[in-house]
Amino acid sequence: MPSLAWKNLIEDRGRLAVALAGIMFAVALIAIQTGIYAGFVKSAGLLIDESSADIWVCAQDMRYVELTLPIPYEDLDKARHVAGVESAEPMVVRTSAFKGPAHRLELIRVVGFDPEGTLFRPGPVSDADLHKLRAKNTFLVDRANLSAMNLHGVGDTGEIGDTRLRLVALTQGTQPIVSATFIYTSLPNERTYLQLGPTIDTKSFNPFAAFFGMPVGAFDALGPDTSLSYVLIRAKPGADITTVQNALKRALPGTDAYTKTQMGDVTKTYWEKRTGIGFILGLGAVVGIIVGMAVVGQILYTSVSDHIREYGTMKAMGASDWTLHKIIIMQAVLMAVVGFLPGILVSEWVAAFAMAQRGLLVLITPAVALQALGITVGMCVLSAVFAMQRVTRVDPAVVFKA
Amino acid sequence: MTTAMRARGLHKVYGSGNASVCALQDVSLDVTGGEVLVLMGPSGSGKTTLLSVLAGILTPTTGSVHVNDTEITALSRRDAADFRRRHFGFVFQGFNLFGALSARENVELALHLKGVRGAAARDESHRLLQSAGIDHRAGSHPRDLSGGEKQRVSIARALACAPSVVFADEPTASLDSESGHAVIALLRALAKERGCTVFIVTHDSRIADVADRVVYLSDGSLAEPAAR
Ligand SMILES: Nc1ncnc2c1ncn2[C@@H]1O[C@H](COP(=O)(O)OP(=O)(O)OP(=O)(O)O)[C@@H](O)[C@H]1O
Ligand SMILES: [Mg+2]
Repeated sequence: MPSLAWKNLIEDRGRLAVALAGIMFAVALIAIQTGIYAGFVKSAGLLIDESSADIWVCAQDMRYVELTLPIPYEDLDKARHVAGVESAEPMVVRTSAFKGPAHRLELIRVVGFDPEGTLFRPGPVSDADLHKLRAKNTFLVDRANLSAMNLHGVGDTGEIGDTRLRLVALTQGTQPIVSATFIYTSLPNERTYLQLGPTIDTKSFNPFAAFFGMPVGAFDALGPDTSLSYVLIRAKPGADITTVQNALKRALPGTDAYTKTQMGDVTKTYWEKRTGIGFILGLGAVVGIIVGMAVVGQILYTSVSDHIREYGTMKAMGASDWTLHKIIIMQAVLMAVVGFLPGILVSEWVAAFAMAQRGLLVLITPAVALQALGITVGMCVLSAVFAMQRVTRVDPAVVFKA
Repeated sequence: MTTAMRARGLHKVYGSGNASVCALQDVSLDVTGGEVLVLMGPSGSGKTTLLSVLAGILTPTTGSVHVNDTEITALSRRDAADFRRRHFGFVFQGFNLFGALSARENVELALHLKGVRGAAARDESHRLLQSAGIDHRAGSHPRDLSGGEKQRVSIARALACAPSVVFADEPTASLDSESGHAVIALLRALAKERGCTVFIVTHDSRIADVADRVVYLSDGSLAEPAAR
């Protein structure tokens, strides 16, 4: 009896509108919160996603991609000779301070890589732009970070320590939500900055303390000339990744090797635990669900009460409770679906707005949308229980009362 | 003719203690298959109660009702509902049509309940409305129909799938006497065509002439079956 479900529902337009507004609110909260979470998790692993390396070799103490200890430069060469390794490239991730125009300081993560290499590319940048990084004292940043660094565009300069360096190209969509500002540079440049600039001893570095203005100044004592953060590995075509991974661990004592997926997981898990973001965002989504359930439950109950004589009539005619429940469930599902569409549109709009205004990644993927739809349908059906109980209690004898 | 419905020793007491009301007292009744039986009696005499018990909607305090060899008073609530679905049709004083549905959809809903779906339900609802003389209003909603028209739609609905028994409680009470009479005559004619038994409760002595038999209820007891 889908048509009865639908027609009873649209009979009272005002009420339907209220129900849909409630569902829209819930859908938007669920989708946006889940989207922020998905965006957060994705953004935490951006640096890893931007690399096409199969395996990351690093110090055994690595906590997450931005926090690790140096490994000797020789490991790069050693890695190249390990069986199953197609190519190996160096990468350095260090923390430092950037002094932009008007002497404004910004905590930065310097990502040093080989611009001629193939295993890392900082977002959508052209080969020509990458090539510019080969020049001395040049760097590249994410468009979203320009204002944080007090820069206006390509050609602007700033300082790390006593070195003045020039912005030569821009990228976008590479900045993790919770990290210090990323700047990208070629490895020789990176060494120059870190030799000269005030950096933080990675062993005792606390990114949150740094955010709150604690002095940065400990000179990098580890001699960047002789150290790397990562050796990025591409395995030979057809080689078994786990085998290569184990071979690398054996060949390079004191290091660890992670597959790309493992590296992503370690980093994402670190940030999830560090920030408790899943709980916070989950709480927001739960509020949406509760409000949605209250509205939908109330509307369905009132609708059933209004049509109680009709439900009684169906019972007299021999309809089972389940037949009547199906009508109510159908109404709940219809409301969920009809309310879902505007809800998800609002969420998409909010996501676009967040990206445009703050460069904040709210990731409403088809999977996120599908999950929100599932939760919404579940929410609506669950909130139909009171209406269903009401129908169960109806005595068909009421139909003969005038 | 076979006995379509057999009631024995029905008692119905509402409530308990001082507040209890004895609505039926030792009612026994046989209804022949295909018969149009009219039950009359003053207000409060227990007519609706008797109809509800015979239709398996209300459980008697004591006594039994057999319909086509099934003791419906012994059925569980769920089985009784299923029995009503398969064997009974209903016409109500207040029509009880579904406001959000058109006349045709109201009939289709009953067919749907009885397991007829899709194109078959559309064709059958059309035939039923046609035989009730109301097919020209098939697309109209109950709010746009007159009382007589609404009752024709209910009769079409009650006759969906030719039930063994059609129960009608005061089917003319909301109608003027002329359309009331026409509606009852229609119900009789259609029931006879299909071989349905009809059990009508009414106050209205003018419709007694469509009955094959009239029985009287007073204070919960059946008076001697009066001849027509
Ligand atoms: N649910 C109930 N609870 C208590 N008493 C009831 C209930 N239903 C009916 N009664 C009482 O039982 C008696 C018979 O009621 P019933 O409705 O069967 O009479 P009726 O003949 O159909 O009356 P009317 O012609 O006014 O419809 C009345 O005294 C009524 O007050
Ligand atoms: Mg009555």
